[in-house]
Amino acid sequence: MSEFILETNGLTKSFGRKKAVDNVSIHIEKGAVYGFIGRNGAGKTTLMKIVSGLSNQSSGTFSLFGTEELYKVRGKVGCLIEAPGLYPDMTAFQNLKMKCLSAGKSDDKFIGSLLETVGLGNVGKKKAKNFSLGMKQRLGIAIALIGDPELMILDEPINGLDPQGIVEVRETIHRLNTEKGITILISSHILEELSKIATHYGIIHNGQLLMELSAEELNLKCSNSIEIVTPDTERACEVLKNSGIESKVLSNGHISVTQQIEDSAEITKMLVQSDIAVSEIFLKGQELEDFYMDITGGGKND
Amino acid sequence: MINLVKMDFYRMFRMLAFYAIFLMLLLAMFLTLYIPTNVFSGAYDPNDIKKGIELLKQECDVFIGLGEFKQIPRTINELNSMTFSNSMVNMLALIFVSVFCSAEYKSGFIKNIAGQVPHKHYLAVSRLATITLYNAIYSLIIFASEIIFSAVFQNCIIINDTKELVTDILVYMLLYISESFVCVAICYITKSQTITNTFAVTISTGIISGMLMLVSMLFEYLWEKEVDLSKYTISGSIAVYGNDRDETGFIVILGFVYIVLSTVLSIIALNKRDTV
Repeated sequence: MSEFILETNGLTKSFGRKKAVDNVSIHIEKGAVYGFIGRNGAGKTTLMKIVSGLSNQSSGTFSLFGTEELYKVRGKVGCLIEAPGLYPDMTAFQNLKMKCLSAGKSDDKFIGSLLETVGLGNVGKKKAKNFSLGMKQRLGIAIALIGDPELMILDEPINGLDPQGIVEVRETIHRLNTEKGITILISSHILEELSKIATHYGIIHNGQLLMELSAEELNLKCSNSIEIVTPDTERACEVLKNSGIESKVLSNGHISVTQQIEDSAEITKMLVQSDIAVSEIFLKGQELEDFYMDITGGGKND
Repeated sequence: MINLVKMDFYRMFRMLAFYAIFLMLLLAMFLTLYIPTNVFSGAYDPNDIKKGIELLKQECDVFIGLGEFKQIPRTINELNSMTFSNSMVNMLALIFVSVFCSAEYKSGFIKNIAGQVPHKHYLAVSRLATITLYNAIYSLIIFASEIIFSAVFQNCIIINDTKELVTDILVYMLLYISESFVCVAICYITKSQTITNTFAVTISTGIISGMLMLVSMLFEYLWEKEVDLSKYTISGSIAVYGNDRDETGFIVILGFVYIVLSTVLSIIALNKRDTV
């Protein structure tokens, strides 16, 4: 049996000639929060729809909980794809009750506890159409939680939320992962927010998966560098090279050093002793966003 | 599957449209059946009424007189045919079906359940079961209203032929169900509330039957062959059934054919096409 909760193998979805998802193979371990990163139209939602059972793939396969007999495990997956699907004239309770009935649960106390879990315990008989966007998103998460899912697929759950709403949803997701052990596949445009909860990442661009990596691996890739500003760039690079430190000159003329970054004082001393003036020396870290822009080329969607 | 049916029942009984449709149905029945009756009540001579009543008493299965008669009353059999074949009554039934089915696409709620069901055709089957129950309730309300209205406005309840009345109700119910199933299939194929609603209004008001009649006339004009295509439509069958019971067998088979075709189309649409 596979160790992965979700494993896709060459998943492809075409709309006419356009491949929205092109030969994507992702692997999600049990207990992970898998951040799915990509621009609008990159193929995130399409892949999530396929995995959620809302769309059919053109080719490729995927397994859930180690089996490709998906009908057996569909009930263990909760999903919130795009905007939450709610009946606007029904209350939060009634919307949840509907999903509960479809899942064979009829305990009203369970619905009450779900509302508490997502912070909607006090909405009473307010209809869903009168909810704020954040409340709707949290109700959508509550609906996805019915059936005690072991995998939750959340597509842009913090899209359009105000800062407080983002924090509330993030905390809810974090709690579900740490307290209930739910594996989460989440996509978001707000990469810094995603970096606060994700343990693994998949980066998709123009339908193709560019990279899969863990948060530790990402941290290594985004590791801090030292930037040195000097009027004598060429000689400074020579001195660094002779000391076994690799460096590169950036487009703005600064020298970037990624080795021995904890020894910035030593590097400064070495350059000064070689009679090289150092105007500035500072540590620089790469944000997830910068890293993403680097590997996707940073341009417009192709 | 049973759980999905429970969910659909829960939703149906909580939809405002469910109750609004029944109120409009009662109003439509009152306006189309009873007001004209009262307007023309003075056209009968009192002696004719007495004679007519006597004849009715001899011929009918059930005669419950509740007061004075101002006119020769209509039997429940007559009222039943008039009600079910009324395009307004037909349209009201279909509009609810259309709203009920397409609401889950419009609200997006289908996303919450379509991915979790073991097989997607469960969705179609549960929806069709709910629609069948709805049509049964609709038919029963029509029948109950006929009894009540007849008692209140005609001071009597007359059933001409009980067996024929039961058959009529079942056949009309079958036709209404088959028309509803077509509407559900259109909803699953198009995933659009606008198209489904338009379709519901078009078939229930006889626009499609009318168009087919024109095609038949064209056919006759060009090839000099008499072909009545409208008799192959459900709305056409609903319109003629009360006047031509010789065609009952054909109409029942037609109803079942539409039910089977619509069910198969709904299942194929759900299984083969993306849900959203």
